[in-house]
Amino acid sequence: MKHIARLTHIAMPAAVVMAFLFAPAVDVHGETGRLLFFHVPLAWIAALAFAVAGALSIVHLADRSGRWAHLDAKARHSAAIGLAATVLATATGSVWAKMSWGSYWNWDPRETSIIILMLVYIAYFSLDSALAGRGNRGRVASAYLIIAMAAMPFFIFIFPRLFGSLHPRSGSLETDAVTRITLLVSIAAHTLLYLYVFSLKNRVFALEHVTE
Amino acid sequence: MIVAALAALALRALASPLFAQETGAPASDAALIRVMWVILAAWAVIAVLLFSIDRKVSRMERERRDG
Repeated sequence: MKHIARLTHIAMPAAVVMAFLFAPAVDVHGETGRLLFFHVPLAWIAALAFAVAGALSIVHLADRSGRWAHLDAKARHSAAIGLAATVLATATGSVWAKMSWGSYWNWDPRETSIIILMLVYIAYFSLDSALAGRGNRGRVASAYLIIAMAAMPFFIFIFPRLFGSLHPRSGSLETDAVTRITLLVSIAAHTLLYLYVFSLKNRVFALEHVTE
Repeated sequence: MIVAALAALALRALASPLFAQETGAPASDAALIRVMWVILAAWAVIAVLLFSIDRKVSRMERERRDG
């Protein structure tokens, strides 16, 4: 984990410097298109974190021996990071919408589907906190996260394509190699940040709950 | 292709305003650099916070292991 921490502290500033100084202006969006180097990685982290939360929940529910008893807590940590990333991705997307189309919010299919996804995971945290102290908390919360994970691809990838959307589709922007490399570096840096924060939250949880 | 792209990156880095020898970068470049420094400053705050939490957690884990 020390390596992930060090790599994160190097990769994140490098991604920021590359996004502003190395990459050229993006296609028709000009300099405002540099938001792409933060908006896309944040959306990727949200999807990754929600998928990890769902996967951990599946293992937790399938476990009969009690060996993976604390996986519901780890799933909760991942879902929290995913929700934070979703909020940030929505915020950066709104800024881009203002700069590109003159309005922060248009009830575009993409914007609407992300709000619905956010509400799904906010409801998860409400459910989880309502069940605090109860014996079935882990299992009920895990079941919810599995259903949420199943719904997540629909809201992120399918729903916005069913209806016409102003949101650029993947591959629709003309990008050169430098732009693509910068985007990949930014995605890698954000992924490292997710892994770092996820491991920190899990370590804090492990310290708070001494293993019997 | 990767080598060519990295070479293009290096050439662009040398031409970027951060390394520019001429005084007075264009207004749009100056604004970009300002935004970049704001984001880097925000990241510095986050990095210090993460680092301090990491250090405290590591110390507590060591105490638990040794204690």
